[in-house]
Amino acid sequence: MPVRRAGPAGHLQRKAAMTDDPTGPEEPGSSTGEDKQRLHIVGDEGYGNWDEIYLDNVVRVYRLLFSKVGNRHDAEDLTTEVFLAALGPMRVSASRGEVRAYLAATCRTVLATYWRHRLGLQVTSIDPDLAASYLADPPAESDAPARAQRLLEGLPDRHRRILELRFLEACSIKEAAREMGISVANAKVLQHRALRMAAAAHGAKS
Amino acid sequence: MNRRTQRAGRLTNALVDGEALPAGRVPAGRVPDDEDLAAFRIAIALRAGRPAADLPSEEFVTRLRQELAADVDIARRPPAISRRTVLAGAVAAAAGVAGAMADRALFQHPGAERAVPRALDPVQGQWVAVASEADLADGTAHRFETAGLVGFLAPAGSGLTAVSGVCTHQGCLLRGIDTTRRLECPCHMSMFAYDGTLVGSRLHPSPPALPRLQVRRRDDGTIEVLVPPPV
Repeated sequence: MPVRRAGPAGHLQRKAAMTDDPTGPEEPGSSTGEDKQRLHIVGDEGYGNWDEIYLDNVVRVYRLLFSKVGNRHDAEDLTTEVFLAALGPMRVSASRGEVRAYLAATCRTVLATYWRHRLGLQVTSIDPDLAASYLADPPAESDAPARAQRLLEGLPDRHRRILELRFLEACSIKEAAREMGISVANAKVLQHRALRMAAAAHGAKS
Repeated sequence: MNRRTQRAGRLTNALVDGEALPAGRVPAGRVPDDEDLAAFRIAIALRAGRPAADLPSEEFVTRLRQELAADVDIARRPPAISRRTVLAGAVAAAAGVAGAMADRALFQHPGAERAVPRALDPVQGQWVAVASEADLADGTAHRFETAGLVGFLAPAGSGLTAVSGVCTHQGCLLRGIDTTRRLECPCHMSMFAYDGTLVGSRLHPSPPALPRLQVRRRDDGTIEVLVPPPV
């Protein structure tokens, strides 16, 4: 796959925020209208060698992929695949913008292959332009916790609590059931309904 | 709950409990519907929202950095042992050998079924000395290189076994792991036994076994393998 020629126009172009995509990433920085105008200028400066490319982008790529698969094991595998796939065809002399555009495109391909092999379904996907912007200008701190909190807003207390316990506080289903004073079977049903309720409220698309 | 919803629930629980998601296509009749998929996406987003969950571990970052450095190093080595040259050499050699199976063995489609190891058995090959008995004294694999091949030699009972040293998945050069007596692919961590059979892989489908090479031991202890003639 050739290096994607993504000039300044390509990098600066921002699509509408993925407000209906619970797995992000969102617009870098913030999603306010004012910040949408805060464009990140990508110069032609490049990297000195492959190690610099890797160190500058590994956390960004990992975060992007983790937000799409939600587990460490697969995020590590996919990050490895992205860098190994990019190692051969990508020129070290490419600009930072080109490198990130190429990494973003590779992330999209690797993720699509992952879901096809894993479930035969495209559960989550990556918009390469949006992902390139995210890689170029990621938030200083992960926005995933805030995104998760927004998904929980508006849910009934018990529905919100089961999801907090299970997903954010890492409780097992038994621990969550005990914490809430309900049976394990009820906890499973409550979790299922809470997820569907959140999905309905946020129009979760891929 | 119907079967579709039950499967979606199992996916969600595997995700939140940190277990590997089941691999393979979803059986007909159990494909999650749109609502279940949407709920699963919510589960992914919530799981990613656990504080500091989306930071890669230092151990992972360091390990991958080392793997990439090794890969870059390999890519910059002289042509005789670069990954691409190994593959190109094998193809060129195979093209000139009637009935040679190297190309099929080395380039079998990743989706192919796991196969019994094929032999790299050139009709017009030549025997090349690649080691001595002393090189195999400790029982571990001995890596060798010829003009068109990289391979591993290892003792096998009272005999010897020789296999290609190129992973059948994407052509990465394998490395010998002495402690476990395995050949490991640094790209995707597939593991092969010394006789070329696959013993572990995260890939789906699994890569085929390594092609075997013909090997012989001369009276003076020199070990030779049959390789395609140089082109």
